[in-house]
Amino acid sequence: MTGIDAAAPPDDAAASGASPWRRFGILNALFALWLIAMLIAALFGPAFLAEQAMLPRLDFRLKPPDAANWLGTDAVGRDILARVVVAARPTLTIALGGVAVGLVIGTLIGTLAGYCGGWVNLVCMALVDIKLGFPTILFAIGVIAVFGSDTANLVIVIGVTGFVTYARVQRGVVLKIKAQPYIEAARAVGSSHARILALHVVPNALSPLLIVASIDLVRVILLEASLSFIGLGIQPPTPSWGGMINAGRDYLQTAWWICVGPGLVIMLTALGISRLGDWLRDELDPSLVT
Amino acid sequence: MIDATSPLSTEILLEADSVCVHFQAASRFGLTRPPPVRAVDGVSLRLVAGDSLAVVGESGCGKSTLARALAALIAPTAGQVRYRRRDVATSGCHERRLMRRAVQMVFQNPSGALDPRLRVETIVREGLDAGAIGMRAERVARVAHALDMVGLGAQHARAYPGQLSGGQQQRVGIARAIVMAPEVLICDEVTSALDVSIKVQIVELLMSLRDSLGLAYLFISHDLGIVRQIATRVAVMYLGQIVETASTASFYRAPAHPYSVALLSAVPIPDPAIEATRHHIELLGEVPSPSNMPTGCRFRTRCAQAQPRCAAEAPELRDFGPGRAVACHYPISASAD
Repeated sequence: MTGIDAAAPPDDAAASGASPWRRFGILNALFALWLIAMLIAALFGPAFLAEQAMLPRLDFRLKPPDAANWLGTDAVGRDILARVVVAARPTLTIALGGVAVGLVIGTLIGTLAGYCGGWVNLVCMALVDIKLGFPTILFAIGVIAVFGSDTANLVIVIGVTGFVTYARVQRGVVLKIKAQPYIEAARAVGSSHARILALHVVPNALSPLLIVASIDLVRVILLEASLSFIGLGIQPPTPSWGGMINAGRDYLQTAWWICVGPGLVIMLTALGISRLGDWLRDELDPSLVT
Repeated sequence: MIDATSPLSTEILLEADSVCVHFQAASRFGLTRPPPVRAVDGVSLRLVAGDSLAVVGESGCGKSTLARALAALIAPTAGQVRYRRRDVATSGCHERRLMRRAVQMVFQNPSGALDPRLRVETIVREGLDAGAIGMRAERVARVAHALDMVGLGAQHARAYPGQLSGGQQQRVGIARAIVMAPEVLICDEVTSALDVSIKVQIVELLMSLRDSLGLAYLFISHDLGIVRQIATRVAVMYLGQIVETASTASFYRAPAHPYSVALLSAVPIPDPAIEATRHHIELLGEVPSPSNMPTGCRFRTRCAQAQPRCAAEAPELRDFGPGRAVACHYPISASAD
């Protein structure tokens, strides 16, 4: 048993790769700083800037960005920077909550459909098709009209409308994983289906889900904006990023800064989350460490 | 349950009794029902303790499907798979779990059979964890011991499969099987994905494990060179059926079924002088579809000696000399050579 192939230690591969922090890179570091800033804004913004963000000052209407108001002021003279900071909490709560709800429901349905097949698959995919055939906004109007538009309801509505993508992606990925020889090997040593799902199927399906989630985050922020637009989202005067863009739409030709400020914030946040998600996925995948 | 009085050498561990595995393709618009693919079609074989049985045949003859049926990974369409004379399909949950432990399998594709996200130690420990065998410390010790037996060290235990070579990965696959303390090891083409030099090491490893652990092997292969090294008996499979069984020595000395003769004649001899003078028997045509078998003998469409009787009547597997059975109306007798 003095095999040549058994002699080489495996750690040379690990040593040749750069450390996780080197792979992180300067750009990701900047995005991480941005996300930390957003987190701080969400945690402490409302406590310090609520007054500037909410109170109209009609003598300061539609001021372009200058030294006093870095991102300008809106149609009733509120400072846009202050509103962006204060809006971080409600926007991120609903966005992250909505993504989490969609992720959990979609992953559950997709995993069941892909792994079990048969009638379970038919039922799960029927659910997905029903959801696809039902207008999102109509569904949102229905739920919010009945249950009211508090944060929890918004999170649930946004999550439920978003589960389809996760379910479809997850089903496909699980079908592929299920055909892998290591699943049969796990059965051969006596693993139960629950163990196979938890140990092999779900961990191997995480990367595509992370990517879908980072894309979905943007969709969710914009969906909240649409809901705010028809008066079902975060209720004014509390600001939200999407709601601010909607409010600035009418002034796009005369006061572009009303839209651009929150637009840039949404873009940078979404980009940051998707880049860090990418990095995290690569770090968590040992098959890429070679 | 276990008859302790019977001598170990004749104890039948694993037995296939007329096992059929048919795959039914989906019907078109619910109207036509395509004929099933008869991957395994009435195979009977026995594996006694300490035995090494090789099942050989071309790609697509149903060897791997037979292996999976014997490992209880797929249920036979008809017939029985018995472990220690108990039908696996009808035995209770507890018994089936014991059978699952006792019959382990090593897979063909070493990299695909290992979860890329788990460390080697976790992969090898999976069966112990799943069966809740022993305390955790005991499991860890058994894993270390199994890895040691296959020639892997502690540094490999912490590695991921992607960091190992093909030979090392196959050793992990073997460790995962033997950590369960099995009686039977089913090796499905374990060497076909490996380099020649690594192949030899894996075969040597398997033989040393047979001696140290007293394993019975069911060795699925199309590599007749390796079968000769490791097997004590050979079963030749053609289109889902066994056409000849014999002891390894007599099989290689004088194959009796025309198909066995053709298979052996296709093995090159590493001596140009002998190779040049050798008479090769070439098979006629292509393998028929396993969903549309020829009438009578399944091999007749490719057999040089086929007679009218071969098309009319399917030959049974009959005894032909000591320890040998052949399914052919006109077997080639050893004296004719």
